[in-house]
Amino acid sequence: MHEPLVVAERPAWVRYSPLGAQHRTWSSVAVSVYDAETETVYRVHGSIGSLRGGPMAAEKLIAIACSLFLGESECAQP
Amino acid sequence: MERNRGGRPRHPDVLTPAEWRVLEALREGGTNAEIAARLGLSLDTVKTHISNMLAKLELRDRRALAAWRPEERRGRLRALFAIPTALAAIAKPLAWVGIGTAAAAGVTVTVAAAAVAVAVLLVVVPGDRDPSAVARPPLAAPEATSTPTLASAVAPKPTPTATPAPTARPTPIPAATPTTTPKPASATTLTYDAFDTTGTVTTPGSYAFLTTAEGGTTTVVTTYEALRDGTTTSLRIHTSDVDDASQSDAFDEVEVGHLIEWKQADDCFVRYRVTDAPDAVAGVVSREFGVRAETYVFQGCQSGSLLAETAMSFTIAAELPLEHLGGTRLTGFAVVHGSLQRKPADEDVATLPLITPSLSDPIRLPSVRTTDLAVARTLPYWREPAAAVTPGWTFALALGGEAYDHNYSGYVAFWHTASGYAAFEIEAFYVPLGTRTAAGPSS
Repeated sequence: MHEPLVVAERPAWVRYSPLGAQHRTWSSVAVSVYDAETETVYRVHGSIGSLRGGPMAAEKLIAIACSLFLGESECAQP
Repeated sequence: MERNRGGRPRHPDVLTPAEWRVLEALREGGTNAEIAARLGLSLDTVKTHISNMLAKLELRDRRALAAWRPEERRGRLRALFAIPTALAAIAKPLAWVGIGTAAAAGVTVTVAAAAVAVAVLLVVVPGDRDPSAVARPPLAAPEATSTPTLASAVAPKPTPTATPAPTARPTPIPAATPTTTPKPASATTLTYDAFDTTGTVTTPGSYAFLTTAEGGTTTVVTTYEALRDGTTTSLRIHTSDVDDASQSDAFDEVEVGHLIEWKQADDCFVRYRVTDAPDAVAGVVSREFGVRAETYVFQGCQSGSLLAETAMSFTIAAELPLEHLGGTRLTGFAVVHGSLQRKPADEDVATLPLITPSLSDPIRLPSVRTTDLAVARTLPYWREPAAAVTPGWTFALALGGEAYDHNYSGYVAFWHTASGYAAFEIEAFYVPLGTRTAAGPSS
């Protein structure tokens, strides 16, 4: 599943495996953030098991991607 | 131990120790670059090992390789030589880009309709619209999850939705020459002409590869786009599959009827036809284009390791929800690709204009491969994650410029856990809009 969202005040999209019958615990999860100022897409891709699979991994990667641009306190996981 | 003429011992196993190591790493998951970093090998070395293993074991792709076990080899070989319809049963999503079009089964008369099924949807966003539209509502929330929707990350900022994409390669394109003997048409297969990239039919009605793929896994296809200014329409296509094989391309001044091209190599590409939106939603501040796969060539995909008689498939998820793109849904289609190109019989591809991306060439960075964080920090547009969100994890390796990817003028950085395992990687794709230099932002 691809999901558009905003990360660190920038347009972004996240890919993860939604929970349910089709869920894949080892699916790659990635968050891409477009930084217009530098015209660069920053893409964070999980490798370790805890950063693969579903929405929990996506949340962690979003926090990592967010911290590329903002402070730690602004990117804390819920 | 038996030795070759050159004196090097011939390993008695089907795979060499080095190949076994790469295979084990491949089974653990990750990209070639990730495997290279994990094993301390060059990217080319990893590619070579994988290519050699595919050739030795006569497997069609890395997915099959990862699933391979010594005792299964015999059965796998039998399957590869089975009749085309059996290929559908063994075909699984390809570790390449996940772009699908329609495939029809057997002798169904709905071939044309299936073949022109929408593969990718594009949304063209007016440049003066509210940029926060990028943060459209999320898709249907994952079921049975206690996690809040991911779209709630951070509040949007009015940022132009410029098109983040490497440029596609320019045309004209050398013709891809079929290397296999075309199969005769049968009563149970569909027949298409083989033709070269100029549209010239080289083998009329000689080859059929479409069949119904069963099973398979979900392939996700999404698109991104932007209007550069008030007059220029720019489209970005981003495609990926569950194996994370992906590619993005950007195209300017696109109109309905144009062909656009996704290209990995001269003999590995997909062309799309831009069409009217299948069911645009009135009142939505966006304009949609439909895009369907028009032609594709598979010979050179996967570093040339593709077996001539191997069919491949990837599947677009059935009922992939695309409400955030204007209320359109993609119906699931499976397509099995053969080694020749496909040309729908009812259209003359050669007469249609092929869009040539007008984006400037990407910035070419010097090749960098370093485990020194201080050196990595000199890469343009370098960014690091906060320690709070990566507890105990450390920088391991950065590849920049040519060492990263000859198609991109960016970099990739690998971060490891405290135990030394690959944790995550950060890629930076530079967008070639010509407003900056390799040294840093122009402003």
